[in-house]
Amino acid sequence: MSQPPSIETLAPTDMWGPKFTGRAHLHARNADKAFVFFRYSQWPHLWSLHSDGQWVYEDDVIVTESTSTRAWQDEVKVDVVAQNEYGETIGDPVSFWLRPPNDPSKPLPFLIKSVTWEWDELTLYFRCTTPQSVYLHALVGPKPPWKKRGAHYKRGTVYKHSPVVHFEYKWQQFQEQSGDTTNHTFIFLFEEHGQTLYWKLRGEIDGKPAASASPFFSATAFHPDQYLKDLGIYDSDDVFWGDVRLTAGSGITLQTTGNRTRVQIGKA
Amino acid sequence: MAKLTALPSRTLIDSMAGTVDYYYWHGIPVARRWPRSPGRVRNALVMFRAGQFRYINQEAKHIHPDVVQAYMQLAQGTAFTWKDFANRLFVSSDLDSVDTLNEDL
Repeated sequence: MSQPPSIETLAPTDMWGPKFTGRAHLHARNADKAFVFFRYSQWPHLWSLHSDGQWVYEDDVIVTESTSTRAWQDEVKVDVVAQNEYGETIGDPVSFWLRPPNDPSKPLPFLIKSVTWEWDELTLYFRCTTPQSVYLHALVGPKPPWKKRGAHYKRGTVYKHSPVVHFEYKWQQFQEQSGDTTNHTFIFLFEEHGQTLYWKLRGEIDGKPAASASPFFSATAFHPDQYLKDLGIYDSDDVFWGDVRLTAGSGITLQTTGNRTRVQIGKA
Repeated sequence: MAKLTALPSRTLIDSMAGTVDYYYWHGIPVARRWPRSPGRVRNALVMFRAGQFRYINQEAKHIHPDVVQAYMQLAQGTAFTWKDFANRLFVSSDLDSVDTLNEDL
């Protein structure tokens, strides 16, 4: 009973070096002692084929090492075909797409995909997720970022519509988790009711600065106890966080949406 | 590329898809030959950036609305869309941004 070839790829970072730069390097084994061939193609009309494969017996299994003959600059399609000693194909060929390896000389990017906000009085638990493993830190400040009109050149023409974003931050804050992670938690301690903080996220991947940055996030602390005391409606003994009881027709509506608590005063 | 006084109707644009590409370039309606693959391996940096561009455009559909809102606020008052900012912030954190430490704030 013939089996399809199983494929192992080498670690992408191992492929970068004087020998393998920009080339796919694969490793396959077949339990039927079949000879395994690779075919690489980057586009259907450019069948750049064949590996300079060498077959080696390892634990009674034929292992093929292969390096593509063309530079590997985009996703590459690899067909793996097993043949017996008479050149007859064994089993079905296996096809798959490989992503190119990361060039260690280029900083790696990350993307913030989702965020959640959770308040506990004046403490904000800001959580976010990234598809890439990254160690994030936040640049935090009380002043909103501002944009200044910049300029960029394209084929000798100046375009003055490209904005430069300025941001003054007061401190840096690292994520609660240690090491590169995909889930990130930040705990922001607000000093008083009504205080607004702005922050953006940067990161490190494998100890090197990441290429990307997040957009600016902001949050305003809201404490109903303090807020209602400021209004002069209640004193602090009457209202407690999490147990706000308002009589019907008082004209005050509290509505929590996302990271903001909206207060509406007046007749509903 | 040819400059136009106005874009043709949607029907005509759709019927010419694959032959002529109509679009706005800096607010100017233009037409060009439909872009095609050059049929060769391009510069490594071009391919690298193209891969990043493709990734961010695919992932943009799945970004949380709060994050999209943050990008939209950043793009407010500029000639760029929130996706442009998502793309440029993904590619480089230093691109057109100045972060200054000020502990006296």
